Amino acid sequence: VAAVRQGKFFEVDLEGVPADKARETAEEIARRVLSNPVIESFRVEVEP
Amino acid sequence: LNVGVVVFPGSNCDHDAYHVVKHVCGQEARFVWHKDRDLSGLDAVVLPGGFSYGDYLRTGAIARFSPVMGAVGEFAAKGGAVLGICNGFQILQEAGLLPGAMLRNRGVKFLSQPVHVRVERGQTIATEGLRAGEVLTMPIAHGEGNFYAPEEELDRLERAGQVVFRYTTADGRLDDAANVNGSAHAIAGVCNEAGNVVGLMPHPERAAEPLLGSADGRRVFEALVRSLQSRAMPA
Repeated sequence: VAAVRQGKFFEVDLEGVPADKARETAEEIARRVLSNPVIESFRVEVEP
Repeated sequence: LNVGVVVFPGSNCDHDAYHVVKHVCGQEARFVWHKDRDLSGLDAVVLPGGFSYGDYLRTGAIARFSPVMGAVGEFAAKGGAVLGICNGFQILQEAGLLPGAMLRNRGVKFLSQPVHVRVERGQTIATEGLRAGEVLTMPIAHGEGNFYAPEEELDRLERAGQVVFRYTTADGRLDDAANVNGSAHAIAGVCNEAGNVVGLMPHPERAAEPLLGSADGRRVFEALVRSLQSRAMPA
């Protein structure tokens, strides 16, 4: 094992929001609160 | 001089900071609840150590949204003196008022021990009157104090003289073993470009009287007082 890095996984439920808007909202939450861009990156997946 | 000590839910060095300002340095001090937005009448603001909001998401990540932080940002923008200690430093990073971010300590473990830090720059609100090269002994107590910034940002910080404290040996030599948390460039404290916002991981408020094993921290608070006495404060 050369290196280990752990991360975080969040499930966010949005109600009555279309998929494109859900992605936009989730990305804003990830950018503003859930991640610190200096040390973290994030990826958003939207499930209907 | 009047120094405000912000109290977040989970702050645990607020009383220590208040004590040092008021009883050791003989200045006025008042607590500022994190929901307050009023910093009027204050010459400086201290963000103390602790575990704001439990530090569960990331250190300082939630506290930076506290109502008081908008006021702290405005206070800093006007040139007001802001000192962040440990968790307070992390909050200032999350708020974008100081550069870099903290990773877990190199050895993963929480470290609670005295360290030596070398003053890299006088003429900040935390080092006014101190000489570059002086070594102070103060305790650290953190799990996330491993200063990180991208290489180009580190270069920029070095060139701009924004590194204020570095972990060294007792005689001021850089040494990997003395850089206990593995910080990039052994950085223990930084300032913003103007030098009126300073953050450091060691706890000067826990080392401000001989009875506590070191009185070196008092010199940081005295530097703060000196810097306030020598500069025009925002209205």
